[in-house]
Amino acid sequence: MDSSRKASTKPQQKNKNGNSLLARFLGHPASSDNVQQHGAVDAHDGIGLRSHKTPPESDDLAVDRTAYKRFNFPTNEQQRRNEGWQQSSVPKTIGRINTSAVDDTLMRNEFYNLRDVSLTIGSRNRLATDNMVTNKQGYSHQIPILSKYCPPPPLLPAAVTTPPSPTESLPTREKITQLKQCDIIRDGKLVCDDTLWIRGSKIIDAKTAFYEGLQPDEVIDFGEIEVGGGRRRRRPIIAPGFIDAQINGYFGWDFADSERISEALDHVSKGLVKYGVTSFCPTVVTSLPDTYHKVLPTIAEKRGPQKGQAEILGAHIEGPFISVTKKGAHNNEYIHAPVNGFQDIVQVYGKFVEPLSHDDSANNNSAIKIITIAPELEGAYEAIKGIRDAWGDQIVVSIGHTEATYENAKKALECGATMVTHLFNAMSPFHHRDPGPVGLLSAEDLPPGTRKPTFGIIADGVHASPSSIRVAYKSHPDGFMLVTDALAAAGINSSSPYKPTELTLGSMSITRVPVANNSDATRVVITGTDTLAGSVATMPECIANMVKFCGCGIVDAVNAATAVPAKALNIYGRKGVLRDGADADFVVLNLGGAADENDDGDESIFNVSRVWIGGEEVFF
Amino acid sequence: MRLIIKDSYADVAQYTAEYVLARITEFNPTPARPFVLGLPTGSSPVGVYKKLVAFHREGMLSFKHVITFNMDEYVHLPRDHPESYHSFMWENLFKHVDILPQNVNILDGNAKDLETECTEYEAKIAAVGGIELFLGGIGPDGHIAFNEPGSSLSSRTRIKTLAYETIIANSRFFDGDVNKVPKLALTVGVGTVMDAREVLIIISGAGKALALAKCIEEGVNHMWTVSAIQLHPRGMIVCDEDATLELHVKTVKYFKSIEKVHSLLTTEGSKVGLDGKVRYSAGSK
Repeated sequence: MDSSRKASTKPQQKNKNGNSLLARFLGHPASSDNVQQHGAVDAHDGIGLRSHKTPPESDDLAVDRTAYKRFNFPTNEQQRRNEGWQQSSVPKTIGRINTSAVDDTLMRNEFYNLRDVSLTIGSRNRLATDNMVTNKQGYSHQIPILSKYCPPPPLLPAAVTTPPSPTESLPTREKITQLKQCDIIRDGKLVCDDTLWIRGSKIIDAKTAFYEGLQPDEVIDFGEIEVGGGRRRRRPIIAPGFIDAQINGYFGWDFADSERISEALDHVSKGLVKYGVTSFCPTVVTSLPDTYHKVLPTIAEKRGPQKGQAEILGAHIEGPFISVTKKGAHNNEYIHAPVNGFQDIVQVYGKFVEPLSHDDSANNNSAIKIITIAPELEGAYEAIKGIRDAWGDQIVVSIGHTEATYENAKKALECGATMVTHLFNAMSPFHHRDPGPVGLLSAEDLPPGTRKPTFGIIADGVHASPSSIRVAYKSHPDGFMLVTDALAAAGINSSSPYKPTELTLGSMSITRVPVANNSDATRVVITGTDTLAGSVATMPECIANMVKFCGCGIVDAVNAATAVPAKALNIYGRKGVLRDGADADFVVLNLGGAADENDDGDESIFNVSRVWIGGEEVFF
Repeated sequence: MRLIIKDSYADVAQYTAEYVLARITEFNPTPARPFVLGLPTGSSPVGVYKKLVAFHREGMLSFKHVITFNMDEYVHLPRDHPESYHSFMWENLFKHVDILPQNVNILDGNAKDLETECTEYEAKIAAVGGIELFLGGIGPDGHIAFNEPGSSLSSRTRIKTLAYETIIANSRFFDGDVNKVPKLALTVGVGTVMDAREVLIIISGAGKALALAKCIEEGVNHMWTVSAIQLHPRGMIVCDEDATLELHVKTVKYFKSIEKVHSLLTTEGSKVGLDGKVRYSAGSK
């Protein structure tokens, strides 16, 4: 614009455009690439010089006006392309100018401001810039300059880089699945009407993912379904996958059988999925050192996440350092005391316990997860201390099969034990003057640096009476961990493919017998005796029983099968909880007993309807 | 301005949700012509969002071609803080419906340059063609969004300091500690809201009664910023009986009578459309 324009108000561009009315609404009549439909703001270059009074004569903004700080903008399309200006769909601030609004005509002519955009959408233009423009002189403001063109990026020093090949440059995005309209157990509490997002084999935080712009590839909508009779079925509950810390075998397979340990682990891992168990610790009962040296390497090899089957966390070694009088179904001959402390431990269990051999230690990857030991035996305290010194939190020492007094048990905690193996069973009973290991649950005088231990409970109704279980739960609900202590006899029915003629638990033969007065329940005993030998319970049965016995809701019972064992085994965060970064191992529970909206119904009636492991649906 | 008086909050939420549903359905949004909706936060719209989610679940309402703009957000509060407005919108609406993440616009209180964030927000609204329907709530002091009394009625999106009263009121969400409550917020201006083609304010409860009375019976005043709705060509207020406690009986009777006539007119195949325009042939927009 040259100085002569200042005074003229006549439309001078009539000839150039052939239409004076049009000229008034167009931006730059002078430049040919701007003659387009009138009224459209983005028909021209983005500097909206849409004057109501005088169209500018030229599109040259370089005229010096001392009242303003000038912003250099190439108005010519060609110039812009030469200089490398980019176009964006949303106007961005490219600078600001200070103004004292001396000449409002000039203001409207020169800058692309919000006012010009709003002309197209409504009749009310109440922009701050308007007020500034019409104010008296001496009023100074900063006006942002918006443009749909962004300045070219500053020139970077030439970097020699080979461009990535097409297949390498983009990481293949993992599939995102969304589950919605379900109640999710998050950090031990039920969140209603929530949604779970999974990416690949991990769970991601849905809110963050959404605001980052991610969308799910697959949506599974549970919805609410009317059950007949006007009853509303509750939304399904999504719980973390169950963790079983004590399984001796299942479906006819026995983990103490060193000949077929590999097959046993495969079959059991696959078979447990339908019970909702997504991680477990294969338990090896008292055996000769030879057995351990054969079985432990196989367990070590097979642990870690696997597709389509439950994850083996690590071995739970129960014995041989247990009390002879409390051996349960273990073989008398192999039981002995760790007289030489930690050395005996290493000698019996082999290289997986040696302090030198843990190159996996940095990754929390000990092949042995739990060692059950009776603390009152000679050398046991030293053994426990040795294990904890060598492995820290990676191996959990658990008190079990023991005649320990209350003092023995406390000393064991001081040495580093943090768990109690199947409370009540195979241990000194609760006596009012010497509560034994059971007394730890309500102890207030624990040694400094120790806490009340986590305790396993076999809630099959056979191993402990409901009343005892309730007492234990009320004393220490945070430490209540459900275990099945299942063995080879479990999971076999008339349609099982594998039905061995003889069922074993290590070197002992076991038989399944019906429980007196209860034709449905069965118990497993050592053949020919009355001694209980593990259970045939499944984890969902144990959870249902816990709801009935303890009077807690389904959420607390599920916590006892997920969060508590995960915390005890120091894997909370990866397992046992549904939060960002956790493994996508979870189960969908359908509750059956709800009557109406105000009543949760009988929460012990439920079934495991779908199971996901590592983000893949493996059971439905 | 229309004032629709309902019996209780549940009816207010039902009416508002049905109105939004009807507007979106009549508009029939497509990717080229999306429905731009302005959304509030707070306790008033919670019932509305629940009903909208229910409509979505019944298949009556899809958010695929709906672009939303929120009114406000705290400054320097992490986005995933449970009290941030990002979390509020996620929990109450976005989690349950099929809105696309790129169509969701909420001010970013953690942007490096907050002023630029505000001007770009305005530009984004303009770029999508302006807001079709702006829902809003009201504060006990008559404010809309965070435009506290004294805010200019022509204001645009900007940074606003929160009044001490507001900080104290909000401290209940921050463990009762006033020091944890953010003191600054980004908010759309009164001018921005009134630039929308339609504005719908939800007012419920006796606590808002005085604000409602000041906003509609007295003049346009920057001390009661919702009063700017008096200058809007298509403003609507939906309120419950409790919120009318400070209004003149005459006002209440008058608006109830108008709505009675309006409801007679807006039946199926009627002459008057939802947007108040006269239809010259039945069924056309």
